Amino acid sequence: MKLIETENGLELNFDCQSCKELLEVPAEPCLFECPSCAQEYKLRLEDGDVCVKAVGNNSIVVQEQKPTRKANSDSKRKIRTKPPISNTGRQVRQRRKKKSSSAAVAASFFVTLIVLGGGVMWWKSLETQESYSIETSQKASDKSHAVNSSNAKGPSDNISVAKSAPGHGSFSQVKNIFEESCVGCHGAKRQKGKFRMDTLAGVLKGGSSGKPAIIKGNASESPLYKLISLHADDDDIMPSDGEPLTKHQQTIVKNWINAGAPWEGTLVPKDKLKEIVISLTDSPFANKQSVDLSKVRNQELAGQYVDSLIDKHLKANGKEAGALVSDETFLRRVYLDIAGRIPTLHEYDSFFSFGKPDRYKLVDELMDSPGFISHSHNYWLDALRVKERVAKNTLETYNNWILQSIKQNMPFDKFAYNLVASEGAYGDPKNASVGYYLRDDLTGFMAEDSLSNTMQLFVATDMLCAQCHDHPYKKWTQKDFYKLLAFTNGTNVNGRAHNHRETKEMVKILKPPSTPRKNGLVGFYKTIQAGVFKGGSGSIKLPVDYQYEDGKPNELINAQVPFGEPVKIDYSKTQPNRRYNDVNLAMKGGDNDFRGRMHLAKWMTSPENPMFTKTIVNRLWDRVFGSPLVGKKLDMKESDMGDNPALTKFLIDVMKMAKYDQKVFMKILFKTKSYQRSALGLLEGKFYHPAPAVKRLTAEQIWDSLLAIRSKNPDLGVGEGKYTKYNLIYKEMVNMSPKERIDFMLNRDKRLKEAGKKSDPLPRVALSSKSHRASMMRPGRASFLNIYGMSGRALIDGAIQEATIPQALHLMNNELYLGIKKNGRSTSYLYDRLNQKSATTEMKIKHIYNAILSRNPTDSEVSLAKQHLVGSKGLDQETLAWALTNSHEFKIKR
Amino acid sequence: MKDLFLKSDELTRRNVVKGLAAGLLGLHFTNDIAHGKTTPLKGGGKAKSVIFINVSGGFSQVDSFDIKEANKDANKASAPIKSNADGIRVGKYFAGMAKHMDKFAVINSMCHTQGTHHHATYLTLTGYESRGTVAHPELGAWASKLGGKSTGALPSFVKIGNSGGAGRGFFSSQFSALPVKDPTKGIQFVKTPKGISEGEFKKRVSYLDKINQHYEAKMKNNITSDYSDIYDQALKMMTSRDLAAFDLNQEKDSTRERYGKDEFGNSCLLARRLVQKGVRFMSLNHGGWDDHYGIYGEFKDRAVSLDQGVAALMADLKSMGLLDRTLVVFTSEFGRGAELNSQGGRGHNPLGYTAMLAGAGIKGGQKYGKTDKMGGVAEEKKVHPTDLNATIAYAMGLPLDHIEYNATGRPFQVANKTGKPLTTLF
Repeated sequence: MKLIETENGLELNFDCQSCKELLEVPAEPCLFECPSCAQEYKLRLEDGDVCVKAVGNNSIVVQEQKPTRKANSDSKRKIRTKPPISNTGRQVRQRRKKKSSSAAVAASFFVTLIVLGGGVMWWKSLETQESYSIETSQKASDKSHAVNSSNAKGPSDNISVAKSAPGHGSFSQVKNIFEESCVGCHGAKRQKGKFRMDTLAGVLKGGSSGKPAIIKGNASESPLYKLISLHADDDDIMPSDGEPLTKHQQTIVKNWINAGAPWEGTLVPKDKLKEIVISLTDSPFANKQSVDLSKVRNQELAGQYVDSLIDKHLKANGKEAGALVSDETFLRRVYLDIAGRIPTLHEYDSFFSFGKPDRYKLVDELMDSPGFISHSHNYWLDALRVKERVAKNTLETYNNWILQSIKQNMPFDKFAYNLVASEGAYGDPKNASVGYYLRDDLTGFMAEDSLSNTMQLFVATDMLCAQCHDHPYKKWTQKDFYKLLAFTNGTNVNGRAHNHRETKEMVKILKPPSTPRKNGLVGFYKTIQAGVFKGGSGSIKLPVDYQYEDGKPNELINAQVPFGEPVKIDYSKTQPNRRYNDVNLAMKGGDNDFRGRMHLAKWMTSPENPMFTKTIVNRLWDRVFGSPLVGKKLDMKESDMGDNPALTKFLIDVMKMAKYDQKVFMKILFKTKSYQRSALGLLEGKFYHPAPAVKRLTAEQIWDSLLAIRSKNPDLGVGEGKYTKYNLIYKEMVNMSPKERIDFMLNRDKRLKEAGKKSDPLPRVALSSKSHRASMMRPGRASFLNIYGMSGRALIDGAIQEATIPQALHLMNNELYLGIKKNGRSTSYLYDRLNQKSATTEMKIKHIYNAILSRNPTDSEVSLAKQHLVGSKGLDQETLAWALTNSHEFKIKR
Repeated sequence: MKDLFLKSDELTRRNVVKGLAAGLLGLHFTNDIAHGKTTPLKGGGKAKSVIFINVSGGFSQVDSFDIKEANKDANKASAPIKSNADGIRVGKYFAGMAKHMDKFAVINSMCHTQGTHHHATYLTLTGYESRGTVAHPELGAWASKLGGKSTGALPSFVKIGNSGGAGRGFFSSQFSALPVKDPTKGIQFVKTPKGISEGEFKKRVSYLDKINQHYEAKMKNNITSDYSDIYDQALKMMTSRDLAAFDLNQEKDSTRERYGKDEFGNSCLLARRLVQKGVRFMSLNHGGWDDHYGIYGEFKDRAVSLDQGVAALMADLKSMGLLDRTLVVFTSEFGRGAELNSQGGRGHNPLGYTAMLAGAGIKGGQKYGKTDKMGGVAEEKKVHPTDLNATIAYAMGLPLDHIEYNATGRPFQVANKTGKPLTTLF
């Protein structure tokens, strides 16, 4: 097989795999058949997306380093303001300008040919190296070589090259282009610019300009052709979203207009094919249905394969992996990443005191330590936007549920399911995950926002704009969003609605005028009766101002998901508008005839969902390496597999094989060589994930690291306490009559105390407790964490790591206790070391460096300290500790 | 049309999309789209500083600045008195402010539909309804972003006392408020540690510089350079002469007595001192007005404290010649029900309440808008919090149609899309 570049784009031909007939392959479209034996073929040559729908696991990747093209610094700058995906088409055009090779930029691309069962598929991805890799320009000499081997018979070299014309004005090629690139926004579903291209009449009518879009027989005067052939950076180019049409496609359209624009039927938008077939034949788990990834050996194998995929990708892009970091750097990095803090002086010493430090053993130990639990707790509190209380409900029980789920290492699919499908009384420990909805209260717009957040967090799909109107630059329509909203519509949060009568009675008895304390009592009672009580109705009315043709204002529509396998719903047994007023039924969990949230959660968390696994893989990769693998953490395309699709694919497989065990998955990442490489600053340029990114410590990491300096057991009390007092009070009250409940509340002090004694209370927040206790507090109460940018818990992943003046003032002037002196009767490890009789000045300097920066000082640092900090009273330990905690290095994880 | 002055150049949809694309790439967005084309406001814009007094908890309009004759309970308990402005009567507990009503424009027709404290406060401070998917910047953050830096070493946005709110929203940290929790104590941690002399501290800092240089020689990145800048700024602040503004003891004791020595009095005094230093936006809080039960129990004490602080502030701003360039905003998240409830209190009432503006070109002694007979529901010339914010922004000369994008590319404006400035107040 050979590819040849002609004026018309990339062209090729080859022998049919079935009948060996020589095939002339049309450059467009990608679907065609062999005229002799009707064998079907699909290919795509001009697109980053893959034109493949196949089952198979043998592949050949032909990598070709293209000849260089002239660098154009102007266009480079402009290009960088567009998403990378849209660079592909432009790249093709620019590549055609080649010929001249001075001051050139290399552009490489792959062609993947997959052969199975007679089907032949190509996948070509143009890897742009815009402005990132000027230094590699001189390496562009290799013409082509096989990278990935295959057992199958590859295409033979005897395929000769032929030129195929870009259509002769026939409709079929144009139809494909329009359906893929135009009709989505200019068709039956949406009419952007009041323009439709699904019928010839629409094209001839034109859009809001009022002029016809084409003039038959005269392409150069046709607005449509003008718009598609504008320069890629032109504001008005069409399509406005995604990649510009290739020159080849433009020519097809031109020829079609010039041929008088023949037309048949009505066009329907066609999604570009999304399924990417990536075969990993050299994977250690190839051809295995299941692999026990809890086994250390298998984790290491998986880690090695991750490394090999990264190395391959680096190599293909002319890059090399960085060096492995020292044991000291690794130690601090891995403690911060897993335990959320630096190692204590004792932990620092033990790592080095038994022969050669064993990095993987440390990973295993830390992943099973309380530090991992508290650090993960902080992480998920941020991702889930957990507040201390919302409306009248304290979220302590929900918070505790999250903590316990982490402690039990609940598989992620189950975790997500429990949140999205949650229902029942909040006080019942088994329902505590209803806090997910209590947090959002679901009043006002919060029902919509809550769902948008759910979609972003669990399936990385940002449909926000579609809450109020069709998404301006994505395919989601408002109707798509409303269909989804139908699943959760009718969800009833809080107790107020269903035992109104009882609450009123309570208020009468408990609340004579001017007794705010008793008012608080009612609030407490409401906490007890809170919960999520309606399953989601499965239907919803379109908004009163609905403006699109595919529905009417106030029209009742049924639930459906926007992508993936449609959910099958039996509406025959549902009563969507039924009211709930049976108090006791509600308190016992409600009856749910439709259970919309359950349907939604099932679809969402299924391994078959095209986004769910990829989303958690991406999130955990970001957690370990500091930057997402694919797109953004909260938004990616279904078709996007990131810069290194093979790696993404493998990690998705691993996550499924690990049955969504987050710990196992993270262990694999921590056991890669890539994780141990010197860190990268996330500045300019393309990021190939060969190493973790340099990051400022989070607010919680700073708190916990200061704790590790001054405390001998910084993880004390993590994960204790199974039930909250609300759980126990609920248990007492749930089977009482209203009168008994009132009686119970009136005797609150005594009975509550009894319940409190029986509960396993959460440790109180103190300076000696880890940050995940304080991070539950309201802003203002947890002022330390707020200074350093703890998430305000309004948005998913809301924490920030920006430098601010209050941080500098706090670290410089707050007289933080750093373990140099005695703290009451207790001492720190550092104090013990500094006060050993044998401690010399050099050793004291070393101890303070070890305790705060987790490394030995260099010789020049020792002499610097001696020169500046040794006076008549010996070493000024306080100042050294002060300076090291204020140093840049202390705040940075690398 | 005064409105015309508030137009910055149109942004095309394409630019919006481009802005988004840059955001997606995580590139440093040079803001040429967001900023470059904006023309400055040509008219208005006299407010160099804003003192935003949030009377939080839901301030009873019917017992203060909108007492209706038909409202018997209010008339009895809060017996209105004459003020120094014709036709404006105020509740009897506001005798101090009564002497300054000639400076205030009283907006009696404030209204919106948010009935809970959190949502109403959020709306009041940001001009947007509280949502789960975006953090909106509050007015002070907008002021510091669009209005530029304060003169001197102090930040442009200072929050005094226990005022909550949304803060910087999606803006970067440099636009967040500097919190001054206790107005008598000034900026937290701005003084060197106890027992460390100035000389010793200098020694510490110079040693810190050396080890940082050592580190940066190998590991310089954007985090280290950010922190170098921030430490420089923090050290500059620690030694700034402007810090003296926070030392209320520099005022005569009689002055401090005049303002009242409680938190609010101190906050007002500090605000006045910060205005003198050119700080752009000060947010103050007077809380506890959620009078569901027995409103006339503690109302008086709170009213006296509020009245004393505001009256002293107005007197000083006037006599010092600061009022022409300072806008004073007096508002609450909502008002209270016009009729007493069964517990002798008043419920939440966003349907009609009162806000007031003074200074910076506002014509004093006027009333704007009306509520119904009892004073509970706005009827004439209704004013939404977004309109109030637009008026404040207008007074400051901020471009109302300037668009800022959050990380996901959604557009936002200082007073929402809907806020219209009440230009007739000027």
